Amino acid sequence: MSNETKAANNAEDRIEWFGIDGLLCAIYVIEAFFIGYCIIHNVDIVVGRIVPYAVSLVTALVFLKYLREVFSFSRSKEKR
Amino acid sequence: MLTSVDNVVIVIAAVAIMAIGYYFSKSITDMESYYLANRSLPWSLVIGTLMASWYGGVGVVGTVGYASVFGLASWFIWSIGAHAVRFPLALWVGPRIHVRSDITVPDVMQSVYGKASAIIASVFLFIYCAQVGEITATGFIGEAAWGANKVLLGTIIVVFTIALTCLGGLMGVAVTDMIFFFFMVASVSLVFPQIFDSVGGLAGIREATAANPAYMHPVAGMPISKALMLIILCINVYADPTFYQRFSASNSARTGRRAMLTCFCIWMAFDAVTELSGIIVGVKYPDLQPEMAYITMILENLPQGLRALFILGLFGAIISTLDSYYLIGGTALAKDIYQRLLPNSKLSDRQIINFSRAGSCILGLMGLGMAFRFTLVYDAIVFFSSLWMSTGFVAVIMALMYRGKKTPMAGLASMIAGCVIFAWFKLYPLTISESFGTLEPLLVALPASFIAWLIGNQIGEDKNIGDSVIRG
Repeated sequence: MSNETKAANNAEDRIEWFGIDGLLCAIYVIEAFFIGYCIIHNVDIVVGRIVPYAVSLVTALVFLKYLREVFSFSRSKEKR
Repeated sequence: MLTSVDNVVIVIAAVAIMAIGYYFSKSITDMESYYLANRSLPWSLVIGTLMASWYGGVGVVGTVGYASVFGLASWFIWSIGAHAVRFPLALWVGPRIHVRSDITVPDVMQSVYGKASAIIASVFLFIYCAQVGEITATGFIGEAAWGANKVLLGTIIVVFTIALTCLGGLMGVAVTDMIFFFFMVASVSLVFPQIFDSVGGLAGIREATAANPAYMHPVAGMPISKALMLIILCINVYADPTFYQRFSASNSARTGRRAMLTCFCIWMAFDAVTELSGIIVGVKYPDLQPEMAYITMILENLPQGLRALFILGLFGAIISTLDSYYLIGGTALAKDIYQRLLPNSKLSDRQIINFSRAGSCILGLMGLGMAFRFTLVYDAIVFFSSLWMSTGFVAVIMALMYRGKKTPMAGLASMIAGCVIFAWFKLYPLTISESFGTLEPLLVALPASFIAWLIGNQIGEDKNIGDSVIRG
């Protein structure tokens, strides 16, 4: 393995605690506390509305992005 | 129950989705290499495949069943804990351990511990692939949706799945999985506000369960033994080779890591929705079987057409999970069991395919024979996951992670000890106390398996011939 490849792999392995990796970990912790707090303190607007609608929205976005990627792959194959 | 309009929608949607799947399976013949060999999956596709494959029909219906029994503790202990123990997998284990996609768990066992351990592991993996919980869920859903006989509906789904396994294309299945998953999550989440309001929100739930305050307590509703066992079961994924396949299919270790971290955030919120739905089921239908009551409740609250897509999504998710496992199990029977037992009889590709198909049929029959012996869907999952984990988890994890000496006796001893202890405590349950509950066999079997591994590792020589292959 060349030094450049090793360096690239090391960069890949490195967790960016002050970047997206750290942000995603923080979101998990904050989300756990936030939903937990809202459940314990009967915050119905969050538990009964925001959480389910947010889940639907995020899943729909991932689904649309997924379909776009698959269709674009399909089209690029047909062109070839 | 579903109306004839719903049934027409189900048939049209199922045909349309199958046509989409057929189109992709034919038009993108090399998508499998795109998915696995080229290691080029972007972030969104990794999230999509992880979400679709990890949340089957059981992930929803079974979770609802457990939440209706254990209350809020199921989210506070189980969901938060389950995803939390998987963080090291996303952050460190997944990116660093490189397991080639063509290496199965029995291959790892054979290279580290020898043939006997590989065959034992293959047999238990084969049993695990029956995915009995999915068939159990099928029965409950069918009974609630159509009033259908559980065994008959289970048989139809199993036959359909075996046909798909034997004839279907990988890419077609991958796309249809995602469509089914979207239907399922969207309908479960969008109907939730309505059923949440129908019980008067959280205050209404607390009022209805005032006689049993532990039910709405963040931790008191679940016996300690059960909570520990459920969280330990969640680390089973550390020994799941299909996870490593998906992780290594991403275009970089960083992409795989971030996709998984994103999934944890989505799953935790989705768990809150399904588990509160389970609690509402417990409040509204305390005397009914919870999984069936949940389906009934959803069907009552969703408009015609949409509820058909919900049922379709659930069945689709179940079928997609079953066909993946039948494929793995069938291959395990042909390559990991038959070829290891009879190494001199070289099988042709055609024979391997036929053996794999026979394996799928055996798994279907096994699943049907056992599925309806369990009261709750999750009981079936917990039993078979615990059996596999008690037997194989320590041996697999030590093979992958421990860099020192590993002897064949270590693998054999850990598997035999884990399996025997699990069977003993399952046959002769031991109740510790009211708060701790009955001692879950997995909690004893896992440490026993580890101790047996340590003792066994003192006997014999290191035969770790495949170390370089596993470590990559």
